[in-house]
Amino acid sequence: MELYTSGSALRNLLKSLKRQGRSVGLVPTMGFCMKAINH
Amino acid sequence: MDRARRENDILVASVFVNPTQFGPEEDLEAYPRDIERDKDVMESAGVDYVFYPTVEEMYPQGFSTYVNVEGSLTSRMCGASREGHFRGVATVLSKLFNICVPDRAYFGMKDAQQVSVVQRMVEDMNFDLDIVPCPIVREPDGLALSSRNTYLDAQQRKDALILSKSLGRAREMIDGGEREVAAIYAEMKRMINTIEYMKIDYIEILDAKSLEPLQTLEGDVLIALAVWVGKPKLLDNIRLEVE
Repeated sequence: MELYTSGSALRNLLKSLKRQGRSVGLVPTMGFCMKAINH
Repeated sequence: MDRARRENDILVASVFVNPTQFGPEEDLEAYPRDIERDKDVMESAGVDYVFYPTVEEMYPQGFSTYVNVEGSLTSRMCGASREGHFRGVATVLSKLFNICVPDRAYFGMKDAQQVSVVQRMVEDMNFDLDIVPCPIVREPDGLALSSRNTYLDAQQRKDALILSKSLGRAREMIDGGEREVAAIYAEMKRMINTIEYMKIDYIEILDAKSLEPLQTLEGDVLIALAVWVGKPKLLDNIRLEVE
């Protein structure tokens, strides 16, 4: 897993992968702090 | 996330607490963030690339273009009490779609209105991707998962179950033949109001696609609610086909 902070760098990479015929799925999140605190 | 992993060669997840969808009265700074834990979650889910931009990366100095979905899709429900919220959502998602060039983007149905708004935007603006709505994920006792659940104290956590129970009761009534919107609305309101400190923001019974209110239950129906359970406002909904 690689982490990108630059939008242009990630877009260049993904566009290049898509040109090779690979499909891209996106899960947009504001983070994963989803579980309720266990009391 | 599992579905997105199965259906695509490459899985991208973005993690960005978007300031433009928070109102002036909403506490952006207090929004729960834990990127280290998030990285563990994403690694386990098989994410290939994480997009974790700064606010400056997404909204550099001089940024001045916004996307606004108009009409009842954004003026009702959460849009009524969160002015500008869906403009922020539509704007950031437009940017994310342009950056990540996805074939499919996945959204949880807990934010049913958000899903409708994004579907409208994608169609209106000719974005070349499919929006994939995903079922609400729930705690074993029925509470819909949400980052806002972390704000609940022990008593509120127990009391919050009334939200999913009221939706379950609505389903029971419909299964039993009830078709009057007012009767279902009244019963849900009565149940939630049994817990004194809860404050209903809205209970809406709508056409699931247009989000226009229904007088009589038929077709693709969305029953959605938003309730302040103490400090946090929790959302939940069910979608059902009514003959």
